[in-house]
Amino acid sequence: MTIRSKAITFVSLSALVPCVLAAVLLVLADRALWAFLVCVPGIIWALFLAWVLGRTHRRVLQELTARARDVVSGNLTAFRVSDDTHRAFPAYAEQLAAVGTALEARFEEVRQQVAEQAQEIERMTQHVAEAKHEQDRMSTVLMEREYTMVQLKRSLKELQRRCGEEMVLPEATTVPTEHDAAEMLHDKAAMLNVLEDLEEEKSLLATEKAKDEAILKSIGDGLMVVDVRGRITFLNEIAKELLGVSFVDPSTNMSVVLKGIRDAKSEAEVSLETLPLAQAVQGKSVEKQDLLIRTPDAPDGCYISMTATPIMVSGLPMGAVATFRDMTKEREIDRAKTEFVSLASHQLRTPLSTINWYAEMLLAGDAGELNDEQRTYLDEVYQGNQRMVDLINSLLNVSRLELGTFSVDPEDTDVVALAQSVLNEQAPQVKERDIQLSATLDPSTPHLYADPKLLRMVLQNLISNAIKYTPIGGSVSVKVEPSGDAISMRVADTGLGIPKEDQGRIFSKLFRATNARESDTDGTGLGLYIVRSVVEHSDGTIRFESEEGKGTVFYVELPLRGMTKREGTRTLS
Amino acid sequence: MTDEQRKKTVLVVEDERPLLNAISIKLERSGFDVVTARTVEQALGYLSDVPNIDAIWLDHYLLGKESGLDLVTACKSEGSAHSGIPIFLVSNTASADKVQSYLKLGVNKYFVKAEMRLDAIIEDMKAELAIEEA
Repeated sequence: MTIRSKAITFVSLSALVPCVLAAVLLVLADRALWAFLVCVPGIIWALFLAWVLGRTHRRVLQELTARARDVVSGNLTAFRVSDDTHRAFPAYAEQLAAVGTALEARFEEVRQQVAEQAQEIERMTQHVAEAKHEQDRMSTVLMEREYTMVQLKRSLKELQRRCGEEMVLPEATTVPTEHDAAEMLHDKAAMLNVLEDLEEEKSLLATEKAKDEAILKSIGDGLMVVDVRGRITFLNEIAKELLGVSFVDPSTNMSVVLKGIRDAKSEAEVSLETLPLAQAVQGKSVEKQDLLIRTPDAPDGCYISMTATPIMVSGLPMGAVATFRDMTKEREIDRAKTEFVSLASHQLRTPLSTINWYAEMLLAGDAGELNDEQRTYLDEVYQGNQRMVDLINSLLNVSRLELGTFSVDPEDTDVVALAQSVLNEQAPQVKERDIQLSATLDPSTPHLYADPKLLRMVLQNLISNAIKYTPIGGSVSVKVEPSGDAISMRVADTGLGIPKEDQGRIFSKLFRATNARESDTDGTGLGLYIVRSVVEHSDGTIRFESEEGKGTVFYVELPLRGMTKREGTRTLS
Repeated sequence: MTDEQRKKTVLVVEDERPLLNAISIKLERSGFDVVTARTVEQALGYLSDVPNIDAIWLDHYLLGKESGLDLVTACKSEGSAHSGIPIFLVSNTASADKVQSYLKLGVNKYFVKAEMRLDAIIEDMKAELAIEEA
């Protein structure tokens, strides 16, 4: 029970006690009715008193609760008691008012302290923001320095590479991302160290650069370096001379100096994207592409061979380097050599014809009958001479292909009939070597507008090679069929095969595979060179699959649009 | 008509003496009469002097300044008495355009010397002459 309840109970009971005593006395005096009449008003009075006291007490409590709320909410100016309460409990109200005043003063103090602390917090927040800003700035500076150092290091390594020298550089500092103020100071110090290192590197780089420039100036080839956007960062004197430019502004785009460059063979203008340097900027190396540059100083053109290599950093292209060599002299020498071969071959033909015809007459008995031994010897002379004639013819064909003096006379050609005719020609060799020859010549193969002599040359070389280099009893198969917008020819054998190490050179002039050379001395190394030249001049393709000891398959595809007529001074034979 | 009268005469125009000899021998063995010349001038002289020349075996490069082409041009020119004589070009060195010029002027056939047997050329020539005669 609370004190408040006890007080109310006490006051109520004290009002009830006289009535109860009077009622007891009246009961004892046998006056029950009087006793009841005395007791009821007493009880009613006691209840009334209890109600009044309880109500007043509740109001005080409500007042106290309200003030308590004011205290909590800081509303101390309203910390007053009502007039009723003041009248009912003046002393209590006075005390409450005093408490309110004291609380108000205390609250004022607290408010001031809070305001001061808020100001302090504001100031600190500002300080933190400034510190953060400074940190960001420092981070940016560090990153810039880092980038500069990596760039310098990269340039230096490139120079070292060119000079063929080794030098160990400090590893790039890792760029911090977040630091507190103390760490920032530390970074600042580290950055200063890096800058010192950079100064040293710069000085070293300047020395290397001077050395490098001297080397680059002294080399006889043109050299051009571009960045990833194709802007020229270096162009040596030879390059300027070859490209016909006297001065190039730094960061000029390569397209400015490479404009109008042509393909050496077709002399057609080459688009910038297909030039070796542009491809190298995309990360692809290109070796020895022959190009033609026509400049006002060299209207006939200057032939160059361009090689371009990408500059890769962490797997990403950062630019490219191109070197180009003046091929004009080499081409002149090559042409002179080819012309010499052509002339010499022509001159050789006359004495060869003499040997041929006299041997033929002797063998025919025009100068009297020969004995067997004489016939055998003379037959060797005749066969040897025939080989010489074949070699001379091949050399002449090569020189005509290289000089571009051969003519192409296309006509409506039945490729199937042509292939059959070549196969028939080879019948003696097929029989001699016991070769299983199979031919699949699709009769639906369309006729081709092609030079039959050239086409025959292709088939003859491929089929005779297959027979010649297939062991006795082996098999050779020939297939001719239409294939989309081309005619496909396939010559397969179970012969020697081309050794892997020789496969890259099999179409080279005068090259013979090691195993072919070892097994047969009779061969010029010109057949496949001529075949490829003819096929490529006809816009066709040739490829092969081969395994040493198992055999070879040659695939030729010639476009159905056929060959283009070409007026030459010589025919291939 | 005797056998001698039926023999055909071939004018061989070739600058290389060994080849000229071989051709002459082989033609004679094959039943022809042969007259030989090493220059255009000599050849034109024989054409005027020797009656009934049935065929001309001609090389391109000859001694002297003129070539086989000059001889053909002279033979095939308008009003020439020799325009009907079949001509066989047998050469190692005539270029494709020259060969075309010969054929356009009316040369019957062209053979590459180094690639042909003598008897094969003669057989071919005989066949061609038989066609001409018919």
